[in-house]
Amino acid sequence: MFLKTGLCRNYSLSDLGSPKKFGHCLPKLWKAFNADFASTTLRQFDTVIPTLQRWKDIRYPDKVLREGAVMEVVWVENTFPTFPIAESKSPPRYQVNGKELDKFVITTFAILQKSSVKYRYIVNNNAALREILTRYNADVEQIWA
Amino acid sequence: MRLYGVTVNGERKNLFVELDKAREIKAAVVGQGGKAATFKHSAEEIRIRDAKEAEDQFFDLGMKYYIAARSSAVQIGLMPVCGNLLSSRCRDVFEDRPVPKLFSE
Repeated sequence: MFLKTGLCRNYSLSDLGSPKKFGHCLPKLWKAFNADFASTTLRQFDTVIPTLQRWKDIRYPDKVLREGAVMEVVWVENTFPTFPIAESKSPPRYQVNGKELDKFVITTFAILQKSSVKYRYIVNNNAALREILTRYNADVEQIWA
Repeated sequence: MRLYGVTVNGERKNLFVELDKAREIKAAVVGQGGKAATFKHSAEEIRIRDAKEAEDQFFDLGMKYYIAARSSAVQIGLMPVCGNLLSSRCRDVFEDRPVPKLFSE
């Protein structure tokens, strides 16, 4: 959604919704976003996008039933090299890194020059929610400050 | 799509309304002694207006997804990703212990 926030400045809604043009294909959206908002700070996410896109392949259970899957949410830096199961014998691994997604949101806000007054107000008036939205990553404080 | 605005006492008001509504506004201004004229918005003006509204909508949706996904992931290890609702124990900075959910034949 944040990528489409930027892309709708130059692309029509029908283009953004079209499976042939963009649809939900993150690599296509990412390529266009990089073309529209050329910035070296975006390069760090070039490896994150394909990692997320892999999840689309297992929206339906057939592939998971056939090949198995290891799925996890992590809040530390890239943990792929330290995973204890030998890659050759393990099922495909699907990972979401919460800290990387936080960094992605912070970076896109800066690129798009966006901030959300409405949600900042909501979050800052709910201490429990604010704690959850900032847990594990002090950097994300800047979104709500 | 044909949308209209009204120039009120020389000031352009981008209203993006139907012609009947623009005429109604014009009549009200003239009725109060002002000067008014309707004008038709260009296709480019409408495109820019639509793009801005879409941008705001996408950003709002993005915020909702981000808040829902992050809070769900932190609290119960469920994170929506590309149509999946990932179910996993969190591997966090305090408990650096991988407990992945395994599916295998």
